[in-house]
Amino acid sequence: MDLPFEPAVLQYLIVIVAALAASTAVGLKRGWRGQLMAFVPILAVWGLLGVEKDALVGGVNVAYKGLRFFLACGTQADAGSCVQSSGLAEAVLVDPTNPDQVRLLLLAVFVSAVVLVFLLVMRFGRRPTSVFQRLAGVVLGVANGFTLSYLVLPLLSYGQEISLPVASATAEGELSVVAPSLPASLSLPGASLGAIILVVFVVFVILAVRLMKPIEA
Amino acid sequence: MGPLEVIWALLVGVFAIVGVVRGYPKELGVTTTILAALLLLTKGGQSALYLLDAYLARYAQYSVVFDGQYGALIQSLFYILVFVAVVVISYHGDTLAFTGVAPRGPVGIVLNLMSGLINGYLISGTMWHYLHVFNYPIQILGLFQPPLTEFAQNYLVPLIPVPLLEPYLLFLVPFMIVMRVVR
Repeated sequence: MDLPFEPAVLQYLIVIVAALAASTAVGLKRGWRGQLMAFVPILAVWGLLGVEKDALVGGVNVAYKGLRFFLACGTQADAGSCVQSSGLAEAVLVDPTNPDQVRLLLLAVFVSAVVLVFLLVMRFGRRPTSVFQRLAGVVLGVANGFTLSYLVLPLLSYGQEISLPVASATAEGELSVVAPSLPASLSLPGASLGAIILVVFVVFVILAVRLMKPIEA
Repeated sequence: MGPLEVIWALLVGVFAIVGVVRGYPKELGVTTTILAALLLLTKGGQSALYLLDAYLARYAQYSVVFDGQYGALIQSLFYILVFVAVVVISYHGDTLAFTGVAPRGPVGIVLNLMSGLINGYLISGTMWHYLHVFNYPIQILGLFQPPLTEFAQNYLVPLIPVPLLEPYLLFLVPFMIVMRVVR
């Protein structure tokens, strides 16, 4: 079947239409307040991804190593030799030096965050009390849909095959450094502690405000 | 003066009690002000110190704030006093308090307690930060004798809020304002 658009244009159109549709739907159902509640976290996630990109890649790789360690060496009596033989110290899921892999990870995390935020706002947001609020939500939703697609489009890379290596070189050449390096690599990056505090704080504030009762006259 | 972590824990405890008594809608308003103050101090504190130094240098003929014998103490006290002044103002009256009351029962008490703990952590942690970065200049006044205990070095200094939250303050302050407006 011949496509009326170039594949790359079609890919972009799909993103723009999906972002517009989702954002407008949230605006229609939850009004301008729902839009605000959705877009502040989305912009925050975007900013965080920009600032903490390296920490995210490091965290994913640490989690990947941890999972592989658990699966491969969890039941082994001699975990040290198991680590050495399985090449865990060198294993990475996302190669930090490969911009395509990093971009794919950012895209996956960002899109997941957007979907999650939209679902949460649709589930827990309040219905708009007037038609005016609903209309304001739609207008804001359209504007935010364009903003969202503007954020996502640069992350797309049509036509490039991005391969995620499941494992990498064996550790035979680096036997001496494998065992000592694993515990260090399993520690959380310093910056992520701040991110954890941030997430806990934001969740607390949203929950607290949500549970707040109106002042009785 | 005992170990700093004892004073830190006492302050956090006091603010937790204050949180339970005042209720978290008011405490969230204080949190907003604290975060705004942190943003102001981290982004503009150094510039304000340069202005202060330029003003004082006209009389002293040298850089009192940055090169003087008590430079570290002056810088540290500047940050701490400005921050404490903002905190006092934010606790005085309703200022940015959220409109509403805490739910009754244990949920409300827990939320009040948590908001008080958060404020205590932010306030005492910020003061600690501005002592830490200037190498505890209050030791000149005989108020503290270094070194820090091992517990404080290993577990509390890494939890000081300013360096942890600094990259996110530009998001947190508008977030709190939006939450207040939405409320």
